[in-house]
Amino acid sequence: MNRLLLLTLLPASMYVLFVISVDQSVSPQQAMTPRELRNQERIEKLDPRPLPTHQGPRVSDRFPDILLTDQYGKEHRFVSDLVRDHTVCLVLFFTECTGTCPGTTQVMKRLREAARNEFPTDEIRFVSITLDPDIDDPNILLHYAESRGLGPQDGLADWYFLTGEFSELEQLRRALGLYDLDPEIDADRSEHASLITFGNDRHNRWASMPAGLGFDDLNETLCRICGNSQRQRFEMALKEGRMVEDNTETNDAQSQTAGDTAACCEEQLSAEQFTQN
Amino acid sequence: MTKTMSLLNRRSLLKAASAVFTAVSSLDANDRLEDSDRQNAVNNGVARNGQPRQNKVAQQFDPGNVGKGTPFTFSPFSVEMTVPPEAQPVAVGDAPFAPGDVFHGIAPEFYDRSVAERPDLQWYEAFPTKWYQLDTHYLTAEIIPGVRTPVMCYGGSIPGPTFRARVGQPVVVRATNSLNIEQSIHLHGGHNPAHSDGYPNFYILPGQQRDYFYTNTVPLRDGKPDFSESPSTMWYHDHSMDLTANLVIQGLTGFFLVRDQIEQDLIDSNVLPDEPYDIPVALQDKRFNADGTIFWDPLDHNGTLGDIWIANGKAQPFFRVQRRKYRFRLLNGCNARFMELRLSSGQPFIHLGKDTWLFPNAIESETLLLSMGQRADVVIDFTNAPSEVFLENILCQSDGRGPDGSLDVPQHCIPGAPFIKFIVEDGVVENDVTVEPGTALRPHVRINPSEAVTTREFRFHRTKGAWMINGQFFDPDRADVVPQLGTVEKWILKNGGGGWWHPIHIHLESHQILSVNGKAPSLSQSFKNDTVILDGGAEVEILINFRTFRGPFVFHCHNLEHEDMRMMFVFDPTVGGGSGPTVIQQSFP
Repeated sequence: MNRLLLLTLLPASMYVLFVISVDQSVSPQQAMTPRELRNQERIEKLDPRPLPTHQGPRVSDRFPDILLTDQYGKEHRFVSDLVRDHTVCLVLFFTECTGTCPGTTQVMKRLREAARNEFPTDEIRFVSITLDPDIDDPNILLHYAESRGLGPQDGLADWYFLTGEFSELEQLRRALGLYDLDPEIDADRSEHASLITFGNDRHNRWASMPAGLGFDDLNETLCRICGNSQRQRFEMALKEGRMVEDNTETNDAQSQTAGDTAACCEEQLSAEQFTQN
Repeated sequence: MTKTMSLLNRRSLLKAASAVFTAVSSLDANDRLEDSDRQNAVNNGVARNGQPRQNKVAQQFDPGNVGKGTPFTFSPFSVEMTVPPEAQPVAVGDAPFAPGDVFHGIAPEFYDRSVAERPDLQWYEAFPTKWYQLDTHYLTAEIIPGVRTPVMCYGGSIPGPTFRARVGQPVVVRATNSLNIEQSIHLHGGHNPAHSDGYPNFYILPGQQRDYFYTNTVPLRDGKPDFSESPSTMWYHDHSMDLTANLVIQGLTGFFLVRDQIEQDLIDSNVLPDEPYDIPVALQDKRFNADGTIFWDPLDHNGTLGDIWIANGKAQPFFRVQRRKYRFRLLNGCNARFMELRLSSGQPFIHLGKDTWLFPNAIESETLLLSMGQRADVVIDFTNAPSEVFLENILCQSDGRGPDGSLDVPQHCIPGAPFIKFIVEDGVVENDVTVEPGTALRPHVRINPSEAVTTREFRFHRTKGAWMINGQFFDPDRADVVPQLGTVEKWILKNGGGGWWHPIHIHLESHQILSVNGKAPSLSQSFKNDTVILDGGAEVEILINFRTFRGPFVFHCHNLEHEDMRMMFVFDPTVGGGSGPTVIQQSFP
């Protein structure tokens, strides 16, 4: 089945590459379809001004303000130093995890690179917290980060790899909703390493998303949940329909192009990866 | 080593704790309590066998956001239940504004009326278009007496205004989003264009507008309008992507009631009650923070339970009734709580319909099992009732997983949690309506299993803290299923286990249940449904038509936290049919 799918995807992806290379040869304005032009006009109608700071209690008030140590040995309070008035993109992981963690970390890496264009680097923080503090001391975390190209980089937001006291980390994990009501499932660390938590504390807006959604979906969600203006939040959402024919034309499944199918079904592979252990 | 030990200890503690609460109480008249007991039950949360209710999560751990209840006490049944106001059209007939001339436009079916209306079929009902404006905004409400609660509302009330229309009467609602957050309005139970169905990312963005077009037509069967599909009790609520749970619990619900000539004849001939004896009631549970705001945790993906019982936006109201028959459209508008409703007087309900549709004949139901999103259209006869009657939920539920028992062996919490106290006033009522169990209501058309052209299986399961269908997360751009318009399919819905219950709601069409766990469905489930309960490990077989409108539409778990965490699939009926997954055929963001 998968092999079949890949065989179908191969010519399709070549077609996509072809279209992309053709697109680049003309100016973006000329290449826009009427629908894209209309969406561009709509995006310009959205308010670009920064949204006001949330007044009143915040979701982060319920997080324990525990002491964590990063990959350089520096200490941070979870809420007061890392979350308060910032945007975070957070996962739980452990360095010996070979199942979902590497995939989740790769998605985070891409989100961090994409965030370069969307968020000021001093506003958004990437946070990976270990589920296995007995093994994951700062040295091991530093090695993990550097060997995967996740260290400090010009223009990219900070990425904290954090460890702490096991019982406090457990408290934090539960406050973040990263637990299972079934104690046996809950005891399996790898169960908690597949959700990415997005939060903009200043606007008090939070959501968690399965890392298996695929990069485009996650990137759009990060902007929608954490964006600082209505325009930033929904620009990608409005462009979402870009693969789809204009709505005024009749168009059934038989007329779908191979390119469409390719774009659609890439997601399937990442969702399958998500379920691996 | 230490970690393993502490986990083991926690597990054995849990087992011991749950053993204390496994006793199953039975439902009989001896369990009915006096008012004072009921009051205690109210103040302590639902009691089980006289024991204070405990929360499984709280026993396990308390990260600071669970296990703490609403910090307010109040006298229950001290305020009167309100009936949502009726939505008033801004015009009937000619358009008062340019249709579609708003940020998010209007459905293409508005311009191609032949898709749904088929004037060649000479509908015997054709009514002038009703035009509405509906503003979604913030409001300070008093849900608990004396407590000011900021909420979100449709049109100035919670629930929002009740829309009433006739089958064959097009309705256009110009919806304005005055929130600072995106929304999408779903008309639950409706057979309407995809643009107007509340598809999760067919938003109304903050400050913008969308023209929702409801054709209020019925689908065709064998080339003729199928009036067995005439909707009766629909509700509208938020359906925006990964926000639905938040916006619904903050107040975004309302009723949309439709009549066709068959139902109008029943009212005109004094079989069914008309207004003001036809009353929609939204039942919800909510928890409150110390500042009066509604508690909701965006990082809880199990399902939010409340500890305050709310009817039409008021915590445990009373409602004065005469000694006559009343029609109530009871909605379970909770995020994650299932209910089994009964009357404290022990009298049964005259059950008129389930979800959106009337039954062929009224049936008698002792209790009403309602999952989130389901409705029970009932008549309560107060003629010989005691002076006080409580509408109460007797189903035990400890967490978002679902009720504590199973569909076959439900666990009842006695006394139940009372939602409403009916105060029955004395006095003789003349010319009461005549409906009783057995009264004919609406001819029912069955789908024959041999009509199904395809059988599909869907497994609803939990994976690593999130929710999937057939190993996939919801993707708004991907059509998972591409049925051919005009065909019938058989769907097998399977629960992936873990003790989780999933009420599955399918948009666009009613479905007919063939079997529940290999057995025939209960009588009330055996006609038309828009939401079907999968209890832990359940398997349900259904038949469903795909008619009139091209997709995309969704089906999903109506535990709103599960839905938001991606337990949702796209079906995209097309003219030619096809095989998914593919890209959705049209998109209206």
